[in-house]
Amino acid sequence: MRWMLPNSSANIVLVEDNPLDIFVVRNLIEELGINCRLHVYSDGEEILTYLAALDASDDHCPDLVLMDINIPKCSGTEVLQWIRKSVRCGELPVILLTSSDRPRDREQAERLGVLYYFRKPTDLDEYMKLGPILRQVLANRCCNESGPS
Amino acid sequence: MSGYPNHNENFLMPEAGQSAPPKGRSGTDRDQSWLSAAIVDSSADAIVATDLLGTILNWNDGAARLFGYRAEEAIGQSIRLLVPPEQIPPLEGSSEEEQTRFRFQTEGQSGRVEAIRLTKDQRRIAVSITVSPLKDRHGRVIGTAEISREANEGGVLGIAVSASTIPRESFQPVANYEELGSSEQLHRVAFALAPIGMCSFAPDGRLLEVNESLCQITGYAAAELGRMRLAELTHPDDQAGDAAHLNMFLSGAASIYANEKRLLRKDGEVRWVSARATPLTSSFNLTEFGLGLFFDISDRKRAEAQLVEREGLLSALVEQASTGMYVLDDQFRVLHFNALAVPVFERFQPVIGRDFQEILESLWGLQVGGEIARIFRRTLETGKHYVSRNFTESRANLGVEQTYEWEIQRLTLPNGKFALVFYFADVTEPAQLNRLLIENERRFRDMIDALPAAVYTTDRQGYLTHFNPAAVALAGRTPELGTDRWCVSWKLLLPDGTPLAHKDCPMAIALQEGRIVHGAEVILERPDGTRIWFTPFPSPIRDSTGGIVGGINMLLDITDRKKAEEALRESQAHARLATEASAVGIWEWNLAAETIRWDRVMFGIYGIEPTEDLTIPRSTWRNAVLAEDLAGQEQRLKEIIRPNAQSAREFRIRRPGEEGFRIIRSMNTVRTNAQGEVQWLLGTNVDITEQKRAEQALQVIETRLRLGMDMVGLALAEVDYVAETVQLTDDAARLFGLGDTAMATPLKVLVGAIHPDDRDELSRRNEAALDPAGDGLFSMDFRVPRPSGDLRWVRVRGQVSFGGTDLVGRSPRAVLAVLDMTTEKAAEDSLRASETRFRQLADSMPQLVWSTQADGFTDLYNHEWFEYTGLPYEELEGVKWTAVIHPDDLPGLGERWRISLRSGEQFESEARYRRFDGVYRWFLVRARAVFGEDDRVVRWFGTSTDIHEQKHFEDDLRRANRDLESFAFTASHDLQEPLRNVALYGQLFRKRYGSELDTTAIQYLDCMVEGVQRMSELITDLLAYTQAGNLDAETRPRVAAESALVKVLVDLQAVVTKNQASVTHDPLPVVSVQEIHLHQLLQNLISNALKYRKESESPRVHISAVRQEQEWLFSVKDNGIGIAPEYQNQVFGIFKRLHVKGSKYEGTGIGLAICQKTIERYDGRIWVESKLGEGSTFYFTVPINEVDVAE
Repeated sequence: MRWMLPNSSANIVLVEDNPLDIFVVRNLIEELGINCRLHVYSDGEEILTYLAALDASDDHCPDLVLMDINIPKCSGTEVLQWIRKSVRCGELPVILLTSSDRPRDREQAERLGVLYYFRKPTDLDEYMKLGPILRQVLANRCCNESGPS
Repeated sequence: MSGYPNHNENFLMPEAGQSAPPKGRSGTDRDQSWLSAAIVDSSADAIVATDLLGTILNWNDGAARLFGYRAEEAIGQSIRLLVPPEQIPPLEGSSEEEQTRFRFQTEGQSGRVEAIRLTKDQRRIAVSITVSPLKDRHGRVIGTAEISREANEGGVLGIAVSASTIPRESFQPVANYEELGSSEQLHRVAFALAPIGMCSFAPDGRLLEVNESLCQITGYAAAELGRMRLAELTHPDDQAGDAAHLNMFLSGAASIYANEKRLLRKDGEVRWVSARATPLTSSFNLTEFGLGLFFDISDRKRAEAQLVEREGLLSALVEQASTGMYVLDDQFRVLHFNALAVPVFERFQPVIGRDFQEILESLWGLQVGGEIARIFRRTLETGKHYVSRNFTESRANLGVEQTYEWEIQRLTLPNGKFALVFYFADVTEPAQLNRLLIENERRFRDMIDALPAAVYTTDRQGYLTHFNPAAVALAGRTPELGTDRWCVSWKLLLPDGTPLAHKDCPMAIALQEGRIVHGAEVILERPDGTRIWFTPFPSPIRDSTGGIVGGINMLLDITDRKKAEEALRESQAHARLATEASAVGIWEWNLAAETIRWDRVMFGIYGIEPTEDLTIPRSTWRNAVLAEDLAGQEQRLKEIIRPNAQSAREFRIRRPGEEGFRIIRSMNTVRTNAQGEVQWLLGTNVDITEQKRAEQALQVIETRLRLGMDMVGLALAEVDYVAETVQLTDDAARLFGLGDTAMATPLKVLVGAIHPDDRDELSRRNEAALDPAGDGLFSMDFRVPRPSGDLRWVRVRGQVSFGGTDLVGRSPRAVLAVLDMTTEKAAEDSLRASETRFRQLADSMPQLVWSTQADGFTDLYNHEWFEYTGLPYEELEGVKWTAVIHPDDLPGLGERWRISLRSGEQFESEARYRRFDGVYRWFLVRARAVFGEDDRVVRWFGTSTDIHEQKHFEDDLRRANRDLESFAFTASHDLQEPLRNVALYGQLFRKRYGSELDTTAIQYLDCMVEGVQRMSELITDLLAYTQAGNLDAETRPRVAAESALVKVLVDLQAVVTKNQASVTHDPLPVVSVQEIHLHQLLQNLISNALKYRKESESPRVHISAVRQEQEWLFSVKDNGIGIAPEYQNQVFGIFKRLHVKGSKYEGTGIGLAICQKTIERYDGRIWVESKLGEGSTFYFTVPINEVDVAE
């Protein structure tokens, strides 16, 4: 599945199989008016196929990956490891969206250089706090890329 | 041509442009033609097709291979192209072969002809041709089909379907492609005759037509096959793998099917077949879907299996070889290596494919590694087999010196490329031993050179290997090593002056007969003509197995003794002469008359003027005898005055007017009267003074010789069995605890020095050595009591020689070497004792106890081993114990054991051991090296302890814990998801449609969302609670409590701000607690403090830590509502809430329970001190461990 938001410049990849979470994320991006394109992949295989194709092409890496750990077909950790091994997109910023609070998951996420471990809340307002985080990450991303190096 | 699928173009048709395509054929014909074509296409063998006029119409690869013509060369030509010119009849006639074929055609039968065929390169090949008539639809013979097989090869098959060369005058040629194209015939013939199993089949895999070969391969009759499906021909075990393949083909997804699989014959026999199928895609006849071919490849498979087996054997051999081995490809990359080569590569991961020069340079450094690499490359280029000398170099990575022997060979791989195989053996130890040996040999030679006696050594063949300066002096020449044999001397003579060949000399005998040769006396003539008498002491040198490896000989110069003996012989001769002439005096003593009568000689001996009546008073004799000898002589005389007595006495006399004394030997007999009374004695006197003096002179010389022996450090005992004396060198005497050695020691005295318990054995062995029938060898270890009371062990070895050439005829004699064995015996004794002790200890242990030699060869097992395994020692010895280790555990165990054997490090592993009843049980295997004085491992000592129950318990526990944990997480996650969905949808609903709802509806919605959220919290907390008791054995990382607190406060920022609270703290320590746990603790306690606040004042929370003896005491103090005393213990219980649902203090009631469980896991405590209305202080302790103290 693939949704795209018009008039976008940044590319955000969302790996999520729960339609509610996809809905909420899309909503908060819309509500906050974040200027981006959202690409949704709903299972591990899809995202890996996408990443493999990306790695082989000259296309730009996405600006941000939002990802659940618990996704069908293969685990988010595997996907994360794949990303970190990627030659072209190894440095990609990743935010984990998860309902797991398992210490092992947190440790693994930290080890794999996850930017933010966002515990999926049961409260909508809490959920909306993801918006500012996204905005900040994208802002940093843009500045890092365009800034002098 | 466009009307035809391109893959069949040249079947049954001339090449494009050479002939018109067939026209107007029926669909069936075309199908048949496709079917035949498919045979051609999918067959690896040769099929050609044709024209009736003898013109070749089709020519496939098989024919091309057999006859050498390409299809475009053969098609359109006459079949006579293949007939040697000499067989082609002139004009229009037909050859014999053609007539035979003609007969087959006219009779409509198949048959076989042998013929010679001519190939394109003008070779004549003998072929066996199976000829079948081809008939058209109407039954008319239109030609022949030929299957040619090269006669001398048998296996190679070429099917040539050619037009017959029917004599034109006999037949009306049917030059009609259409007729010919009714290739049904062709198809049938090829089908029937092909040695390949063939069938056509329907889309569902049902077999339609089968040929004879297929019947033979499968063992089914054609009718039976007709009821079967393709899949049924596959062996049940292969069906699963084959089905997917076959179905892909049948469904059209795959254009070709090919598989090697097993086939189960009707009779149950298993055959390997190569099965192929091609579709008949153009078929209008939908029932015929494809063509299947079956080659029987059982023989090949068997051969392959054998090859694999042999290769397996080979690789097993390679793996078990005592040499390391690895293989490099022609790009210098590692291809393969065996187990012994593992240590070489242990630093390199991965090894396979790695550049070998890189490895070499890393191991040996640039220079040496580069040198070795050059050698390798030379072998790779030239193929020259390279064998190294010993190669000793410090390996860069180990800092140890290792010596290798290696060789390189070039291999040619199946793909034609070169590879290098490198064999090497670590000969460090042999090389070191060799150095040690050389060193020992050098020291031995130095010692020999320092000896004052002439000594030389030889090899097994008697060639001189070494001699000392004394030997050069003795021989009067410098021998040549490796040339001189048996002796250092120039010429040898026997004592009687006859020449003695070197090959018969005592040394030669010693080496040839493998015994010590003692007591010989030989004369050596120097180049300058002087002669030396000597006694050699040659003895063979044996290695530890008893084989003779050389000899050693010591030559004692006895020239002086010989000269003395010569002199003695002369003086003895004089004495004898004197005696015979006049020196025997005769005396008579009449007891009754008390008169003594001497002859004149007697007076001469005594130096007295003869009396007139030649009688003397007894006093005359008594006065002459030396006072010290007189009493003894009188006593002896009294004793012999009895009937038939005889005696021989020696005594000394003094002659009037002479200095010194004379020695007299007196012999006498007794005469009795008729009554048997002794009446008188008759005797002789001989002056033996000169003789005695000569003997004494000899004694002096011998003593001097013996001193010489003492100087060379030999403890020797020379036994004179006749005199019953033994001559000891000083060293030997000392060993026996005897003093002066100047005089010969009576054997009785020597025996008296020996421990009484050993005397019987000594005399037994002595007698055995004296048995002239035996080898004369004497050898015994016996004990000699020392004055201190302890025992000395003495070993005596030697040989009795009979019939020596000694002057005085002392024979037999023995020269014995005497060795002090006390130290060795003591060592042996203590070894035996300690072994006994060890064995007793080992046998009493409940574990399996074992011990190995330094190289890992196990030579000791305790009793428990035999009990447990049910095997005897012989089946465990060495490395045979590996047979009782579970095959899955052996590689790991073996690897670790090898590492320990190499490094000497303690060994520890776990493995399953097979019990006598076949049951495997887990053991903890441990071994420790025992180091010798030079820090080298001398032995390994190990125990294997049964930990089966323990291990199982641990395993079960670990599994249970893991299962539980994963269950808890899965459950919580799965429970969370739907709750989150309900809560979030509820909120979204309220947000989007709230304006359309009345307040009651909104209230319901809120209640629903809150309930669900509380449920979600509850699950999270429950999970945390189960986690709190589950601490892995991992090390406890240290965390600064202060930084943990800062993070907690960040998390609680919103609550703190909302409550206008103030949270303060003292300096906090670093503690050994996982950060997440400390975080949890502080967060729970602080948020509780903020939650249970008083309405009246803003909350104040203070966190502090105080060091107590072995623990830190943390406290979290608040000014909240406090807890009534009766509830202060209950607050830590799970689900204990003091406040009703719906009140502002509500929670899940798990927080403090988690805190308690967490802190207890760290062996800490948690409690609360509180007064209702005055706030609470929660305390918890964290033990201080040593690392904390150190900081």
